[in-house]
Amino acid sequence: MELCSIGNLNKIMMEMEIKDTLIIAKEFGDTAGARDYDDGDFSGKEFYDNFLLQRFNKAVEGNYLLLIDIDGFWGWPSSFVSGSFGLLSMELGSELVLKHLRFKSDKNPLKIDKAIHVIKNPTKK
Amino acid sequence: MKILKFFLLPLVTLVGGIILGIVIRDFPLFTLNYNLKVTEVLSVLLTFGIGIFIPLIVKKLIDDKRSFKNTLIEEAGSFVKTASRINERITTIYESTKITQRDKDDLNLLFEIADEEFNSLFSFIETYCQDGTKKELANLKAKWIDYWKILTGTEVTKSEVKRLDETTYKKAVKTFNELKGIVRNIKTQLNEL
Repeated sequence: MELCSIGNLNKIMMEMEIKDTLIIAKEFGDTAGARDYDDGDFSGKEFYDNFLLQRFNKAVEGNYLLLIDIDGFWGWPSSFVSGSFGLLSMELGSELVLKHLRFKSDKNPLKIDKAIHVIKNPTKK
Repeated sequence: MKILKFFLLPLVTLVGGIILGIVIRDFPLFTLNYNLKVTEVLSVLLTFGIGIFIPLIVKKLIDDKRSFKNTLIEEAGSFVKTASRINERITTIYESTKITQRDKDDLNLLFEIADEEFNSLFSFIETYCQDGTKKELANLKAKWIDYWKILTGTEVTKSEVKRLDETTYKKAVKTFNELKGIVRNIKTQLNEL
């Protein structure tokens, strides 16, 4: 199934609306760390455990979209993205993740492409 | 000599005077009509206007196109410049056989800067360029994401990583060279615009 085709995207957008927004810089911290807890503060795993997973599960249960606002969050290392969004994709499947997640990054739209790439190609490392 | 002085010279002067009189009488050889039509005046002005302004407009259009192309090529060059800074930094790190937290933070910073340059280049090309260039741009984006994954992935950012291993370094250099190749193709296509 091609999730990102315009037809499918429109269908999803028609079926679901954004009911929750996770502003990373405001709720989690303003700077990205690395992947795991032992790599230091603000790791991807910390973000996953304390924010992403529970908010995402609520979005799935409530059948709505969770908007991840990346603006104002400094740094976007692949280890952080992989430790949070990649892990979510590995645990729950990329199809479900892409169905319920939307990203906002006005300042650096490439961060969205990077996150989607990691969700579609999650790795353990 | 007296004949020359008193007969021939006045004769020549007389004949010369007659010829001059005829020439002056018939001069000008064309006549001017001072009753001009407004439409004729406008027509003359329009002809002059077209003659002067069309080359100027064409020249301006050519200059604008050249300046636009140069801007795009500069954008591409600026992106490669920052990517080169990352490549130089990673080479220094590899040669020093140690990597510090500061190095890791600096790599993150350089990727933030390069991302902004990529976004700027991307939006320019998306708006103004043809499919061939857009295809190369998609390749560039994919390759840039690969480069980002190599240099900000766990092989580099993990706290226990104290030196950059050879495999990661070689992979990064190879990807960087491929990036440069794609940008070169984009520049060539921009030049053909």
